[in-house]
Order: sequence, then structure tokens, then C-alpha cells
Amino acid sequence: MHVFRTLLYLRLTTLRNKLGSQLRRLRQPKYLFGAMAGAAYFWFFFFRHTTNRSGGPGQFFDAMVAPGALEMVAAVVLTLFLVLIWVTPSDNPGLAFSEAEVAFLFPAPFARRQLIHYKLIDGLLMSLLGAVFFTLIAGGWNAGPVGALRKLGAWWSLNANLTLHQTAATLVIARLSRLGFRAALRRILIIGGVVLLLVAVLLVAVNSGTASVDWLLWPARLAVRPFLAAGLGDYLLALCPAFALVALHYFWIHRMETPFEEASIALAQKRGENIARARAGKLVAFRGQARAKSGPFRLGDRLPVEAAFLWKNLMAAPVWLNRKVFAVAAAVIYFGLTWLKARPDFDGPKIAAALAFMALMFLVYLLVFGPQLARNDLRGDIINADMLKAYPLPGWRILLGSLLAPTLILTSIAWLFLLAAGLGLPTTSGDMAWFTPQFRFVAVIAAALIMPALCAVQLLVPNAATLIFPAWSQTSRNLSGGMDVMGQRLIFFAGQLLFLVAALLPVLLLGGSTIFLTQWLIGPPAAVALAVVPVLAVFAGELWFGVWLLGPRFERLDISSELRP
Amino acid sequence: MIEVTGLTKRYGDFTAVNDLSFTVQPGEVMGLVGPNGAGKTTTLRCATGIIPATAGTLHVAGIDLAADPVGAKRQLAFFPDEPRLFDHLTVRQHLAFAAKIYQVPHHEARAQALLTELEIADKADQLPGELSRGMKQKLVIACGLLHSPKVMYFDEPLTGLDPLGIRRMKDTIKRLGREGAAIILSSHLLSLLEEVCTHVLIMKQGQRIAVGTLPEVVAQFSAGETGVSLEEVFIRATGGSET
Repeated sequence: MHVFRTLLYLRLTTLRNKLGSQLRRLRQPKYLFGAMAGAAYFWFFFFRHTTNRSGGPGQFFDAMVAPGALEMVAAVVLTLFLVLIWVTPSDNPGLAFSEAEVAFLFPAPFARRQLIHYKLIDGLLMSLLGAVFFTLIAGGWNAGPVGALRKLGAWWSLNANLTLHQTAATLVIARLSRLGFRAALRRILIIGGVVLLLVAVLLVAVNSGTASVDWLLWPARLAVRPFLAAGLGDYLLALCPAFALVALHYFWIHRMETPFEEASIALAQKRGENIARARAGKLVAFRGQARAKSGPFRLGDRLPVEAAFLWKNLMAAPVWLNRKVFAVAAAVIYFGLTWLKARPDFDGPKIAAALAFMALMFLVYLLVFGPQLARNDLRGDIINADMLKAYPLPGWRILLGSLLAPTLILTSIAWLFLLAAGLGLPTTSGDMAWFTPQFRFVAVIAAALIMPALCAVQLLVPNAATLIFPAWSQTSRNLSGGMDVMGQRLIFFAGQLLFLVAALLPVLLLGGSTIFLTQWLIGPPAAVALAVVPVLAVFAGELWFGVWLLGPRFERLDISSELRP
Repeated sequence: MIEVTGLTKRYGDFTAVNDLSFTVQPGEVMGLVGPNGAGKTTTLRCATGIIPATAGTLHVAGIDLAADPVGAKRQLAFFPDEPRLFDHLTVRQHLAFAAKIYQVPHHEARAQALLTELEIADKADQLPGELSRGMKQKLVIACGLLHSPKVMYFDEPLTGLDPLGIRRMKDTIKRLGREGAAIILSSHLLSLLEEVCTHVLIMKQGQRIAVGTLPEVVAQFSAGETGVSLEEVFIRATGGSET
């Protein structure tokens, strides 16, 4: 009871304070508007249909969990997930405690078993919260209070079984590691065992039917059955074994007393570092420490100062984003698609065309979402603004230099997609007869030429937002979350899209009219090539204007006062 | 009292601490020094029962840490170098949480006295995010002292403190020592050890190089010279390198 009371106090007090601070900060307009946007989003997607009891995302989930063969499919998926729980951990996985929990609980008068007990109760509480969330997004409220409770019970039993199984796996793997049973051997044995089992199952199933191997999925089927039960009686009959499985897990883990402390401390430190990195606007390091690497190019004396920012920010990019990888990717795309187009015997051109359309789709995604992901610019450096401002440089040069690395990265990826699109798109006829190989070639080259300017202008928008609304930008990386912060992110994203449309409008008008007016005289390919000139000019103008406008803004920025809560 | 006998801690093939023995009596403040990687933090973590020792015995206030970890931990407090606090608990709630962990009955009066003594009573309803580093450190100390421990471990207690905070921290440690606590203090700041500690333990590569009162250890490495500083002793004892 001591452990339970301690945990309950911690969780309830944390929840109350969190809600309290979120409510208090609604006095600030930026959070109030954020909360309104977040609430509207939630209502639109999850509660809009509760009044008429139809529609909504819940129907999708309901369709997914229709009884019958789906029980088997769900059990297979769950079993695969369980296999992953045993395969993926390293040699010494730790139970997940926060750094504060480690500092307070590990030296406290708790036996190891009590700490494991703490984790177990915490796992059950957290899986209940997760169940509430899943019930919400699965449209559980649409079926009325009883239906919602049914879904809640089903999700809770499933979450609890998964959480407790993961805890058990962690402790067992830690114990095996201490006995010299290393991760590589464990993975080989498990994967090999699963493969052998699958082969055996297939053989048995072919000879005797699937019913004879049903028992293999029995535990997983117990866990998923509450979702598929028809009547209330069936549901209760299905729920009891699922919760019995939870109880079994609980008993199993509680009996184990494997040392986990060192791995948990290391894990807590790693998580703490990742949280600190995320709060500083940097990428989360999923694997180990950042490693020293050679520079992306030689930072010669004659290079302009902006190149130093490019150099620095490219160094901060993931290690796989390098010239060699891009060259290999380009070669694979070129030779792969050329080969496919030359093999009509197995529909190679059709596959190439499908890949080309996918590349175009990814290109659009890249242009919309890429600037949100490639953040090694001022957004990542805003926390170091005081240091940057101490450099003997005007603000516009710092901003321009900061834009270069993500521009280069996004452009390089976009070029790969363009290459795939240019090579893979099919030769057309009829209404699309104008889309000749010559036209396609020119269009791809034109798009490739425009791409750096387009990416730079797009990146200007979030960087401008960071400089004009640094507090908003900072809270958007607030890890504590909440409806207000989610709403802020939505508003932020919508604002960026709006600015993007405004930036693209003159480009589209000028480029489009150039093509329309000149194609009669010089033909479509040459008209497209000619349109590149005004398009680039407009982009350059927008970029220059943005940098000119924002440079002084950066110089005036007082980050300490802007980020004060 | 802290009694460590033959403490060994291995991580696979690597031995972080090797056959370390020492004793800290009530009222003594032992400074734990050594180059980076000497095994100081590992020693502290083992001595607090945070991580299990590979071999050796540890007694905290006469209680065997391996045989009765709960009983032993009830007698100790550990103050890490970095104050790790719960983001959403106020100062007062941290103390209430610590009181629950250590089962301190009617903790409110004692908590208020500690807050007043450590000059953070006016911050009682604030969250850690609103506190300076020094204030956070004080909160950690208040939480650690709430259950009146007989044994205390400080890991780099002066990190990030301002001059006034440093002064207060030194005074607190000295006072706790005078009041009869057995204290181990790990730090790279040799001036702190000279000022606060009664004893010193020098470690290198997991081994004990020297242990004793300050004058004893100084005498061991002064080779008859007078006025040899602890810094000079440290350099001589460790050979001036980490390896």
C-alpha cells in the first residue's frame, strides 16, 4: 500500500497541477486561441457524431474489428508485436523511470520488488489513460455510455497486457544478459524459432486445416476477444480471461527480482537528454551519442560567411544525409527505372509509371511538410540567439546562412523525386499528346532549377514565424502538450500554409502567363524553359525581401524577454 | 556510520571500483576525490543502494545494505549533482512526496522549518520551472533532510551555485556533520574539501590511493615538506593523470 499511495499521490498531484497550469495559462491569448483551435479540432473529429450516433472515425474502427476471421488477424498482429517486444531490446534494457523518479525513488527505502511493483501499478494506470484516449479516437462515445465502457474495458485489458508483457520481457532479458545470453543470440534464436514455427504451422495447416494450429495464437486471441464480442454477456465472458491474463502477467513480474537499476538509470539519463534536446529544438538522438564527423566540405577562407552556417548546420544533419547517399540513390533511381522501362515483358513501364507518380506524390509531401522536418536553421538555433547576435555580422547574413542547409537538404531530396518522375512517367497520347519526352525533360529541368528557390522561400516562412513570434515557436515544442499547445501547432501550421500560398501566388501568375503567352510562338517546352526566368526572379525578390525584412528583426530580438512565461 | 568493506563493482569486463574499504564515523565528513573515471560516482551509487555492488559489504548506520536495503535506505539521503525534480509538483508537494516515500508522519511542521532554514519558504507553491538552480538544489536538500537521515552523500554539491549559495551549502554540510551525521562528499573542488571535510579518500581507477584525516593524507604525500596543499597532494597521489 505504501508504494501505491506514493504513486497515487505523485500521479494525482501531477495531473491536478498540470490541468491547473494549463487552465491558468489560458489567460494569455496565445494559449486561449490555441485551446479554442484544439477544442474545435477535437470536436470536429471525435465528438461531432455523438449527437446522431452515426459516422465519425469510430465506424472505421468498428469495421476493422468486426467479428469472425478478424480475431485471427488481430491475434496474428498482436503475436508479431509480442515477438518484436522480445527481439528489439538491447542486452540490458531498463525499466522506464524518469530522472526525477530515479533521484527520489532509487535511494528511498523501497526494496527492488517494491520498485517493480511501482512500475506495475504505474503501467496499469497509464494503460487506463491510454484506453481512454483510444476509446475516444475510436469513436467509443458514439455507442452510448455502455458501449463506451465496453470499448474502454477492451482497450484497457489490451494495453495492460501489452505494457505488463513488455515489463516482463525487459526483466527476463536483463536476467538472461546477466547469465551471458547476449542480444545477438537471443534475436537469432527467437527469429529462427518463429520462422521454423511458421513453416511447421504452414505444413500442419495444409495437411490438417488451420483449426489444428489455432492454439498457437490462443493467448493473443484472449487479449483481442473483448473487442469482437457481440452481446454484453459474450463481452463479459471475453473480458474475464483477458483480465486474468493481466493478473497472470502481474503475478509473473512481481515474482521476478532481476536487477534493473543501472540500465534504468542509463535509460532515464538518455530520456532526459532527449527531452532537453527536443526542448532546445534539436533532433532526438535515438541511438547513442552524436559522433564527430568530417565536414561536408572544406571551409576555405575565401568562402562567404554564410557558408560557415551551411557547414555548421550540415554537420548537425543526420549522418546518412550526405553526398554519397544521394549519389547512390540517384544512380539506383536512374538505372532502376531505365531498366524497368526496357522490360515490358513483366509490365516494367507500368511499374516505373507507378513509381513516378509515387515520387510526385512524395514531392508534394516534401514541399508541404519538409520545412517542418528540416529544422537545422534559425529554429534550431533560436535558443543560441544571444551567441549568434554577438557575431560581427548583420542579421540578414545570419538568417541567409541559416537557411542554406535545410534548403540544400530539401532540394537534394526533391531532385531525387524529380529524377524518378522524369524517368518513370509514361509517354502519353490523345489529350495528353503535348506531354512529349522533350517537354517532360524541359519541365523536370525547369522544376529542378526552381526547386532551391522554392525550398528557400518555404523555409523563410517558419523562420520568419520563429523571429516574429518566438514565444509561439518555443511553446510549439513544449513537450508537456495539452489541447492549447496542440491548437497552437494547428494555428501555426495553417498560418504557414497561408503564407506559402501568398508567396506562390505571384510566381504562379507570372510563370503561368509567361507559358500561356509564349507557347504559341516558341512551343510549350521552350515556353516552360522561358518561364523559369520570371519565376526565379520573383522567388529571388521574395527571398531578398524576406531576408531584408527579418534581418533587423533578428538584431532586435531579445530572446530572454520573448521566452519569459 | 558508513562502513564499506571490499566494495567491488564490475560492468562486464570493466572494473569500476575494486576492493574498496573505508569507514566514516558519525560527525565525520569524508571528501571523495579522484580524477574523472576514478569510480567516485559508482562508489556513491553503490553506497546508497541505488545500484547493487558486485562484491563487498556496505553498512549504513549499522544496517547491512544488501540484507536490509529498505532499513538501510531509511537512514540515508543522497544529493545528486544535478537536481532532478518533478516538473508538475510544487516545492511543498515535493516535500509531501518525500514524506510519503520515507513515511514521515506530520511532516508539515518539519517541512516548513526546513523551507525557512533554507530560505525557500516564499517559493513553497512554485513549480521547479520557476526556480533558479540554487533554489532547486535547496529543495533537493530539504527533501533529503526531511526524514532526519544519519548518513548523507553529496555528489558535487556546489555545481551551479552562486557565491552565496556556495557559502550556505558549505555551512549546511559542516553543520550536519557537527550534528552527528556521517557524510561523504564527492567533489573536484579541493578547496571545498579542505574547508569542509575532516577526512579524505583519494581514488584512482577504482582503487583506493589514500584514506585518512586531512593531515594524515597530506603527511603521506608531503615527503617531509611543510605547507603542502591538498591540490599538490592530489597531483602527487594520482600521478597527475587520469590513467
